[in-house]
Amino acid sequence: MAILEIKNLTKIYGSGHTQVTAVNNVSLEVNAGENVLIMGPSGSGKTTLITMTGALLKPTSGNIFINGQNVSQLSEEQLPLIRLQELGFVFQSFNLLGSLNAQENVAVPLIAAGIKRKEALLKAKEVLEKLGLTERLKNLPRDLSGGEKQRVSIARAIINNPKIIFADEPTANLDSKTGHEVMDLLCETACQEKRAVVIVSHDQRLRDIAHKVLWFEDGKITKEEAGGHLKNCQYHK
Amino acid sequence: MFYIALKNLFQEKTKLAISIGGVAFAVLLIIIINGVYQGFNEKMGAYPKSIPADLWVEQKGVGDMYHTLSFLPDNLEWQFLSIDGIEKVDKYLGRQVEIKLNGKDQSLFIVGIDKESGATKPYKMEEGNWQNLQDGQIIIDQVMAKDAKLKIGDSLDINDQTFTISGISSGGNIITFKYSYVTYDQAKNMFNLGDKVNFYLLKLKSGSDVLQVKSDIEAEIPGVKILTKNEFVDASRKVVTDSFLPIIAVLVAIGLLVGTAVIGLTTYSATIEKSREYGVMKAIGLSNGQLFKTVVVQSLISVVMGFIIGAILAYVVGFLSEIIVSSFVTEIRPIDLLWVFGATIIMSLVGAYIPMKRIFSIDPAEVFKN
Repeated sequence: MAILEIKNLTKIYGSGHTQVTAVNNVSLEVNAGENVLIMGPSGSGKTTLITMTGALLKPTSGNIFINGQNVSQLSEEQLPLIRLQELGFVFQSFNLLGSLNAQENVAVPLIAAGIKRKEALLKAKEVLEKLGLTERLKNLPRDLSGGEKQRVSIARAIINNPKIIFADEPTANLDSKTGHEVMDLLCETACQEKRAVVIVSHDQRLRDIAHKVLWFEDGKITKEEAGGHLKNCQYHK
Repeated sequence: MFYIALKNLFQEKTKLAISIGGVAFAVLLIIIINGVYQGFNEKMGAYPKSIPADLWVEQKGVGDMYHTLSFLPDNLEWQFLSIDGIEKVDKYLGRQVEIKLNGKDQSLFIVGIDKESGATKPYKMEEGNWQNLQDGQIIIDQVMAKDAKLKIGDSLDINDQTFTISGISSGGNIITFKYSYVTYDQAKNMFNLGDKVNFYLLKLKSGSDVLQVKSDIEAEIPGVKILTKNEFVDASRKVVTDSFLPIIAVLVAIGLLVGTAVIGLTTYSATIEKSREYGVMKAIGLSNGQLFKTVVVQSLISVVMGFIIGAILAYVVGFLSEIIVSSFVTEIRPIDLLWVFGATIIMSLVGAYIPMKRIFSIDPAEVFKN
């Protein structure tokens, strides 16, 4: 069963002469353990698609099923809970909270979900240690390198055990070596922990970890091809 | 969400200091203004309250002893004593007098002391003894003594008469005048009262019905108005409440507005600066309610810290002011601290309202824009 299922999704901005169809009747399925890479030129509607599937933007028409639940019919008040429990986000510019250290940043989704602070911090520590950030737990984002920030961002995205991770240009601000490390992490996230990972990127290297590469243009999927995903996430080793 | 609020707050220490400082200043202003009001209000009623009388008898049409003069025949004593329930009758002579002191105008409220009964004795003696007071002598208030550098043995000219200071009292420093005390006979001569007195002070027998005695007096003696002790004290205080309360209310409102504006502006600017972070928190699943708590907690922490600092400063400023300016009086009551605290909490909620509206309007999808 698909964890993420999109049916005839359309998003239209404006009306009349200023009407723009950002996403036009798109359908898509993503299964557990699958890495899907969405590529396309700027302004093609990729970000609109990811914000709709991430339950951050209401579609004009069509349906989005996350783990079988039609989120496009949920109210604005119900959507935060879906995002908190079912989805994780990794951003190009990391978007860590500047006043919180790495451990506290990762603990935020747990605390928001009602877990006690002490327990949340303990779990955040475990996840960060797995991602090789044992020495950086107490560092504020400004004291972390780009790669470290993205690893903290990934840790925050997976801490609540979401079914789907959305990653927007996750390697764009990183050097080659760090970019590979992040790709590795995203790959592991999909393969080993049986999550669906949806990546929007211009980075051709990400083709290597994707099961499916979708080419997006003028609000539509114009091409679908198999990615270079290697079994057991050993693609770069 | 408490710790996110706390971290946000302490990350920007300068902003926090401005926010706390603004609230502290507003709280200081409100407490001091209210303290001055309460202080004078208390002082105004303190002397009449200290006089051992259950009922005050005054000429009909007189409101209190400060604004108008009450003249009553001085031979009503036996008539009062013939009414059931009255145990003791004293006469009160008192009037405001203007003098020149060290070239400056000074208002005195001179009271004649009947040494036998002591009913109109000074509120509190600091130096000397009121029982030794003689004609030609005067007891002055310690604030006036300090301001004019007067001491026991010095002379004071009042209406072409020279008095020797024989005692220093306290508790008689009112906004516009100071209590002074002379002998009963001296007061009668000074005020040219002849066969008149200003007030009668009635002490009732224990168990007497105050209202019954009041109505009996009104029935027996025409042209008089009877006030209970509390009514008379309230009437005396009315001079402060009527004159100053509207001004105090305006100043307190200004203080509240200043505090609200400071907390509102600092919370708002912090919210604008962190609007992307609030968008991120929304994107990862925090509800508007959780973000509301974060902002309100930040605002509350700022105002509570501001209140504590402002309240401490108010005590310090009040204390120092009374030392530097001897006529300055402040009375900071726990009940006033309580309502000012309540006002600061409301201040924080009002101050958090506009930032909250801003947060509610943040589109979490914006975080995908780089």
